[in-house]
Amino acid sequence: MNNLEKYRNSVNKIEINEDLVKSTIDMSKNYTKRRKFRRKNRVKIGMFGRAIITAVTLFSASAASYAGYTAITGKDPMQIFPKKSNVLLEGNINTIETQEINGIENNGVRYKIDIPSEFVTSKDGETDLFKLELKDEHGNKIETPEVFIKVNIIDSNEAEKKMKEISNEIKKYIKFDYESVEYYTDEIKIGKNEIDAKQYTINKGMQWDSALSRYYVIKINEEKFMIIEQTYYREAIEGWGDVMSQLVTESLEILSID
Amino acid sequence: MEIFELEDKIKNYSNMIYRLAFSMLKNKDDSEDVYQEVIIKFCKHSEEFIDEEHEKAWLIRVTVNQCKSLLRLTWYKNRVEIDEDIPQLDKEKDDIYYAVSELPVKYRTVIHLFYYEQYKISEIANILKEKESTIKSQLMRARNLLKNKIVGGVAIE
Repeated sequence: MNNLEKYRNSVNKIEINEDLVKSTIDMSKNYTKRRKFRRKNRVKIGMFGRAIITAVTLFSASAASYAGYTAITGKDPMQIFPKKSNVLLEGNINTIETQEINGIENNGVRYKIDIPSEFVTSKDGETDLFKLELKDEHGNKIETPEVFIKVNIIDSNEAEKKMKEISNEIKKYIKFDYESVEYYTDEIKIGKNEIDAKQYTINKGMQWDSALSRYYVIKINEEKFMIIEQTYYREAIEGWGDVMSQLVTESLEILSID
Repeated sequence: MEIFELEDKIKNYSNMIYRLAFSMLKNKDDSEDVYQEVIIKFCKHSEEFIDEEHEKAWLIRVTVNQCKSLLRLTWYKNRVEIDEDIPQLDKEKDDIYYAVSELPVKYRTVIHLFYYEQYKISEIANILKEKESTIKSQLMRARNLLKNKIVGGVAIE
């Protein structure tokens, strides 16, 4: 037996205590139950939280207003608040700088969303665009593969079309059979209002800079759907990808619907 | 993730997590603590994995991070190390494992991932978020150190 085989044999002899595995499995089941309980309670906390947010909105002197919205809609302007958020990255909780975009309006729906502090907010036609723009210490732009969040509010008939488009996009990039698409599709609850949503992830290649797009199709009501597209790149799955996903799925809140 | 699926995954990954933690911490109780922490984080992880390799790499990275966090703690650094026998191993028959366990932790980690988990250098670099050249030189230094420790001067090849 050579040294490599000897080493592997020795490692194989080290085995975890089976009772510990059993108790850990039981613990994880209890944890799942507790998590569901917490999520139910969160609706109540959410209402209280919204009251606090409203108060903060009224009294915050540091808020920056987005006057364009007022001019177009005649309603309260969108406001941006710098804040800190906790995100789970590679198993560790990290506190990062973020911004709360409050009261952004699109097609009669006003919503609130948290995004990383390095993102710039703009409008691209009907689309709300939140895009990563990194700059070095001299203010020069740092080139990275594209990282952005796009939000569109569309009517139900358009939503059906959009979902077909996403399915076709998935089929285009998945090289194996269509059933595998299910692996990339998930039904989830999203945001403070715990709205039903479908999540699709499209993996566009195996290079470090290959794009990954994650779509959330959110049913706001019978007439309106929100489509959120998050695009990042393979190298950034557990960086920007995780940050965007967690911020969006935790913070999204529908404030009003016309 | 369904409960049954989660249970299967925990069973499948338990030894992998524990063995890696043990190779880094050289201590049964601490490795068991790290194992439980990693499993809790796995249960909390809400994002889907691209495939099983991605899932495994994530678990390895979280295990390494968890062990590093523990090793960084002041009380952990300052505690008196007791040279414990590893219950399942025999110092003579398992001399290579004992030789590896005497290396500094960064070398033990790359040795474990390269020779036991059989990851390529580029994959280890990706998992540990290090440059390939760093992993290459760590592996080379680890081999050289092992040559001096193992009777006959033969390292793992």
